[in-house]
Amino acid sequence: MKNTLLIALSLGVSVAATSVMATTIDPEKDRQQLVDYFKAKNPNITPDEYINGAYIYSADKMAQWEAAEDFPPYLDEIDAGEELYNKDLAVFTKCFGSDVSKIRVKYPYFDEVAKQVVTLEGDINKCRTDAGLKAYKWKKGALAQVSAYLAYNARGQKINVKIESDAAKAAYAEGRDFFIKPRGQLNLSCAKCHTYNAGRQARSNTLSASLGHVTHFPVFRAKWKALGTLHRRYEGCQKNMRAKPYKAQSETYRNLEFYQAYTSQGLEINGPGYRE
Amino acid sequence: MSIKIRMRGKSKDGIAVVKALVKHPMESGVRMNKKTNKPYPAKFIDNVEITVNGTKAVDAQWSGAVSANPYVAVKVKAESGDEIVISLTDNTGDKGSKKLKLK
Amino acid sequence: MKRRSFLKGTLATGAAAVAVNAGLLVPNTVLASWNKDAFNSKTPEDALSTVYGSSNATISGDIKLKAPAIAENGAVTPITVDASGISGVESIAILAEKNPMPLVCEYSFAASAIGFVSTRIKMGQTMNVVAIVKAGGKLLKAEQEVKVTIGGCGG
Repeated sequence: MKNTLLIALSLGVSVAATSVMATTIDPEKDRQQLVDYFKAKNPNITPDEYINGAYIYSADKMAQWEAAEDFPPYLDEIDAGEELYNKDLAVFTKCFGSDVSKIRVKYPYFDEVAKQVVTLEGDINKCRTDAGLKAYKWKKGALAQVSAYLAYNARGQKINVKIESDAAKAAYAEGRDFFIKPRGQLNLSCAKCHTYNAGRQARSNTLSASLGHVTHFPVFRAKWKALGTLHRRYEGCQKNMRAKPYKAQSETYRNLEFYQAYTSQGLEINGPGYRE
Repeated sequence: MSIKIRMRGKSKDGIAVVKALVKHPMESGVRMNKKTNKPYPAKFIDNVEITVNGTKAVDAQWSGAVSANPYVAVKVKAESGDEIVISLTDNTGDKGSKKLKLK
Repeated sequence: MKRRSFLKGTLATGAAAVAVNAGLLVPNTVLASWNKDAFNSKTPEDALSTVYGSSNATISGDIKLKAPAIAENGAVTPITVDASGISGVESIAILAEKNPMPLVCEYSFAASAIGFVSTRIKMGQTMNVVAIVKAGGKLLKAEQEVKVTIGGCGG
């Protein structure tokens, strides 16, 4: 049986990521199928537009979002991130180099030596702790602000995730498996809402598409009145869907981020983004 | 305490769009603190003035129903190089102002 | 969307415009003292009578009122009142009909200002947003229903 993403999606089948299975998975084919799936669903929306989340599905919502982004509330957060970054500039420069516009685009990547997915937030804190500085908290505050500063400086660059080994493919497969598998009291999978029902309403919320999901992080949510990292959002969504959440920067979420970033390959980074 | 203001302004064909984003909680005095069962005390910007080259163009009164961290955009007759000043006060006596040379 | 990269050049740290913080300038003319009675009025009619001496406003198609059909977040509802096509605009007021105190804000314009304002307001529930324009001694109005829901998916 051809192990394509769509077949797996339609059966709601959990794809166990054993090393045998991993080698039969073709991330690029998956991604193309996803792009084609969304194109078929909404022929009028180009793949590039998916970086704007649920706003592409409603002119009324889009107008409100554009009004917010015209003079957005996250400007102070970017300034705060810049201040924090410059406060420990020597340390950060040693880890990331001197060009702040070249940092965000490198993540997430698969560390072939440590055999695990490395995220931007993970490396920001690793850089700090390696130098004897205190790590930032994982979901919001300083870490999100520094991440926002780096994302802002990378705007317009394209997501470029490399999968160049079986081990990297296995991590991608784990993330994909998580995305497809139903879980929790409501037996929902990420795919059920964000692939199958993207563009439709779940109560009064419009569901965003998984294509382009990660490009606008860290996100400034009107609901939080503050920034949050991608993993904060994963955790919040899982809790809302009555499923057991994982910890920010856990292997599960890092693999999920790796999978999601790959499916947004080639799309523009537009963080930090304002969202509902 | 000085209220922080961000301002942008661009003139085209003699008309300038001036936009401001203000850092302020805009507490209406109606919102309840669930722990104490008393309302959070009112603290909101009540008066806003915008001048062009020193002359008043817009004079506004706000209430706590204007959103927190308020945004406002107005249009004035002004040319590139003209000076726009926005000054505001809140009901507790805090003030803020910002000067901008139009692009 | 190429337009997003425009933001990069206009942050405070790299702004081309000269934006000097003028410190604690007090407005240079005496401001009308804050209209407490108008802002504490419990109905739109009372608020308007207090501000303008009358609540009799005629609906005008010359007022372009832009408001969302469904507010994504009632606490930050973007509203634009464009009366630039009307001559002699003296004042624009924005009311949120079912707010406990409907009058949200009022703008007075000198001849050097255009009858236009765009802002973000708090709306507690589904209701009409009302824009009142005083021009040439007359009161004109435009109104639109804004649905306000309680969403908040996702933590």
